[in-house]
Amino acid sequence: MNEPSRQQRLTIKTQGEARQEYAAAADWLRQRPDYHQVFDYFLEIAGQAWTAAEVSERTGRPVVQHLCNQAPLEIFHAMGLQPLRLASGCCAVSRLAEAGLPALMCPMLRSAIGAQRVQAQASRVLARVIPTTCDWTVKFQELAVALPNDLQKNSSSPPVHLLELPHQRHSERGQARFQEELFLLIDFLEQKIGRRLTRSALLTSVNLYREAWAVLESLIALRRDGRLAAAWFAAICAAFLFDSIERWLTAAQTLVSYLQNQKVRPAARSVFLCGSPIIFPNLKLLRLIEEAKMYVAADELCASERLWPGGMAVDDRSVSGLIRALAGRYHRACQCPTFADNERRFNSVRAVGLPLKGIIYHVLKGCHPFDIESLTMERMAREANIPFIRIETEYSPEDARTILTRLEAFANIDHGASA
Amino acid sequence: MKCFFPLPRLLLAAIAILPPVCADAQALGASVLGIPALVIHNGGHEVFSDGTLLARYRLSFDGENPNGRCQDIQAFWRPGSAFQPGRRWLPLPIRCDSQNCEAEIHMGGIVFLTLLAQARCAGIFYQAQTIDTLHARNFAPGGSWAAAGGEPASVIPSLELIPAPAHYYPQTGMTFSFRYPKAESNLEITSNDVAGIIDAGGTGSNGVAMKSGDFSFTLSHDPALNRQGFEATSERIIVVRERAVGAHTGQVSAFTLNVHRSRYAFLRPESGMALFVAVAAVSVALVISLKKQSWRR
Amino acid sequence: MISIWRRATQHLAFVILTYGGRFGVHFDSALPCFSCPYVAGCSGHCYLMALQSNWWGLQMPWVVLTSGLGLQALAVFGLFVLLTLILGKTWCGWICPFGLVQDWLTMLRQRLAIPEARMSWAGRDRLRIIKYLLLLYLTIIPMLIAHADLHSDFSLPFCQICPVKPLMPLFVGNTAHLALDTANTITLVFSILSVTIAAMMVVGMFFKPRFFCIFCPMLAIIHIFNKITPLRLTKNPPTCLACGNCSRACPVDIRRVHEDRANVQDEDCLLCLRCVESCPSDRTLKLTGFGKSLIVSARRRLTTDG
Repeated sequence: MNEPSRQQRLTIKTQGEARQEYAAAADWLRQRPDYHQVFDYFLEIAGQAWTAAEVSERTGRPVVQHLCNQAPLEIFHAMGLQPLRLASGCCAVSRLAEAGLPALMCPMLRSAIGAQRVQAQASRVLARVIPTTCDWTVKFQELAVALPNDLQKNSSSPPVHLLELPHQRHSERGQARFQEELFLLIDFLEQKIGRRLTRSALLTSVNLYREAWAVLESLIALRRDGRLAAAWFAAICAAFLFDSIERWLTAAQTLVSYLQNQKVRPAARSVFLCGSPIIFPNLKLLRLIEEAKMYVAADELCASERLWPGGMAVDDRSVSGLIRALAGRYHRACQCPTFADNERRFNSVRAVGLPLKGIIYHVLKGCHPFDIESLTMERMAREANIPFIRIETEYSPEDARTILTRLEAFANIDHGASA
Repeated sequence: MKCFFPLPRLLLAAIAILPPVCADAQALGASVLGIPALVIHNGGHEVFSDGTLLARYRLSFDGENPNGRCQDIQAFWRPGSAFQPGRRWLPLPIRCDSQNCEAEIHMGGIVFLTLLAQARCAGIFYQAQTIDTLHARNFAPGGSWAAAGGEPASVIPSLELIPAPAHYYPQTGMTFSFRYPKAESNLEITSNDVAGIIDAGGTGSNGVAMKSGDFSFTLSHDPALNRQGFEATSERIIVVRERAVGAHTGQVSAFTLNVHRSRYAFLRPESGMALFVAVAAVSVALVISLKKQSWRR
Repeated sequence: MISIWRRATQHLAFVILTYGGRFGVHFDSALPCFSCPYVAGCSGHCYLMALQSNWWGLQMPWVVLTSGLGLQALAVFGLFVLLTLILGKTWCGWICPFGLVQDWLTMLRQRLAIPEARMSWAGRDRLRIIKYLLLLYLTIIPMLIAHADLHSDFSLPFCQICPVKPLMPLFVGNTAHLALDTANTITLVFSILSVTIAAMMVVGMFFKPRFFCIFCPMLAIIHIFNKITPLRLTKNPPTCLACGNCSRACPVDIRRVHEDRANVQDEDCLLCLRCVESCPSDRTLKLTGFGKSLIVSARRRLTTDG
């Protein structure tokens, strides 16, 4: 019997560490005083690193992996596919991917690549759809397959479709181009599954996701009045990314009913969290904010409240009309920092309608677009007389103590009037 | 027969949607009355700044001023409606000089009226009638209308127009029915309108004698009138002569109709609908062809 | 919910304005919407006819226009202005019977799942001028008839080409206005234009919501009074998330409502409030009237109405 190679041993070790990391985050949530069994579904789904094969088996649909929010989930669903977000918040797996990757790489994508390596043997993915948001996502596939990985050699990478993202979303040209991109995506997927996308299926999916959006809106409202902590919200959103929409919807509706019967708990120090995504099990910043006695009443993270940007109004229910509406939702309404025309991003803060202690801007080291945009957000926050703090970090817990000190100082300093 | 709008018709004929439109277009001759008659001519309407309206009427006898040639010239009017003409004939002052014999009605509101004039010329009794609709611009009746409560005169029209709602707006192509109460009289009827006059027996034509007292008169279309605006009118006069028999000297009655061009006779609904469908089809084709992407997109 | 109320109001207005005259209802000749006088038994007349007419409009002769009768015309105009000021463009979005006919065609197209025809932004912008040109046309021609002896068959020049004239009488079983009038060259040309425009409009209205409204001179007149009307569409720019739902839902493709400005009421706005209904941000778009917020956008509304 051959000895396992160093790489294989490392992979097996990492798998164990990753399982522990997920379990630790889930356990922390279970220990909280606001835990209730109604959260169990979300902990079960969010609390482990699912492989594509497992997700496919659980949902009964072929899996399409995707990065970022701009790939319309309704299209995947309507074509009988299960969307699975490649984004990962696991610190352990990112260590596995460190070799051969740029030193200052976005931790989320490094983790995603690591997760792919861990799951490589078991992956059963129909296709991979990558919206071309930042440089890291554009180069994701190249980085993923270029790794010196003996496991990688045994598995074939799924076919990749780059969903080209026009970086001007308020121009006629940009909107038209993105609609065309969606049709190209449909063509690509139709070719893969061997059948056409039907209008009725798309309409059904649009209505289903609209229902899900309505539930998400209810959860956001519950969050505003102190009944749903940010860490729970992260688990709920993570579950959405890894399970079937129908099952998630049922569980989320039950949760809404439960929370609506809880007492409103207005938070004394409500903060607005924005910047780079926070993905389960990476709850480091959320835990530290809580420890600093602040409450994240709102955020505009792309794996959280902005999971589906905006609601979608549909008048024209032809395929063309539905695609136009989806393009509006996933492109025009998206506030990803990779867009050139993002002037109204700060309006998300104003729209919260709560007195805010301040804005916490989260930057993952290497996440350049959010790093760049933090300057604009800081200036706007200053103009609006809202305290602002920029936290630059990564997935590893080493800097937790330093961050906590800064957050406590931020929480305790009297900044005067705020929004 | 010359068509009066050759170019458009030619264009439409090319796509075969325009049926012949000149069938009724007969040139009306000038006044071809063979019988001297007393006739009321419409002298026009004038609106004043208070909204009241002055309608002028002029009398002619055998195409000339009756003043000096006729005696006992009188005029009357009766306001009413096209459904039900008024019963009371009211005296209407008539002013004759060396140039003209004229009467005026100055009134407010909207009224349908019948006008009657009579005179004795060269020993023969003549009567003239006309109908008119006056649209004053105020809403309160006034002027002659206010004086309508005066003493009615005893007048017996020799020729009666059978009332019909359409008389509010007389048009070419419309049929007017008349009754000459002395049905046993030997009548001779003529008109400046070349259209046929049909007696109750179903026969007759312009300028022929008829024994029947009831007859109808279909006004012909007039290309010249058509070319004018919709407000333009053409004067059609129908003359009925009752021949002298024995001691009876006979009499002549004239009825003037100022008619507009027909509103409906020249409408071609089939052509319009064909054009509608054709344009709609072309437009649909245009929309589809202008769509740059596939229909699904 | 806004759409449901609007549809109900539109249908009620359609029935009253199209058939009300048969039951003795009459709202005079100063209505700021296409309640067409050519519909027998309608209960009120579009002011455009009065404006062009020789009775209360620009075809009045000088003697009448400068006399006390001119005051009557002014009174009718005053009534029109009053009605316009009170309800503003809700006449277009909520009351106009022809607006509802256009909406029916759109509903039919949507039922058949036929996609909407799209125009380029520049192309759509170029069409805006047409309604003002039509307004100029319908004011100049009557004056030329009154004062320059233009042929009287040019009377009511807009009515003669307005698609409402041949189409709305169909709802009372009258097809006469679809006919070609061969009385003379002018009537023939006008009737060919009328039928052609009506056919093109029907197709246009089927493929593009409120297609006729783009060209409507009544909308142009109402817009002239828009600055002083108490009803207006406003926006609170700081809460707009720029999702673009508003401009996409707009039946007349108004992009201004999406812009970062407080006054978003465009000249083509019909006040249908579809933008307010489709806005996912609380209190961002609102209809204000007499200093009060009447209808405001709410994220909850979109979760239930879509």
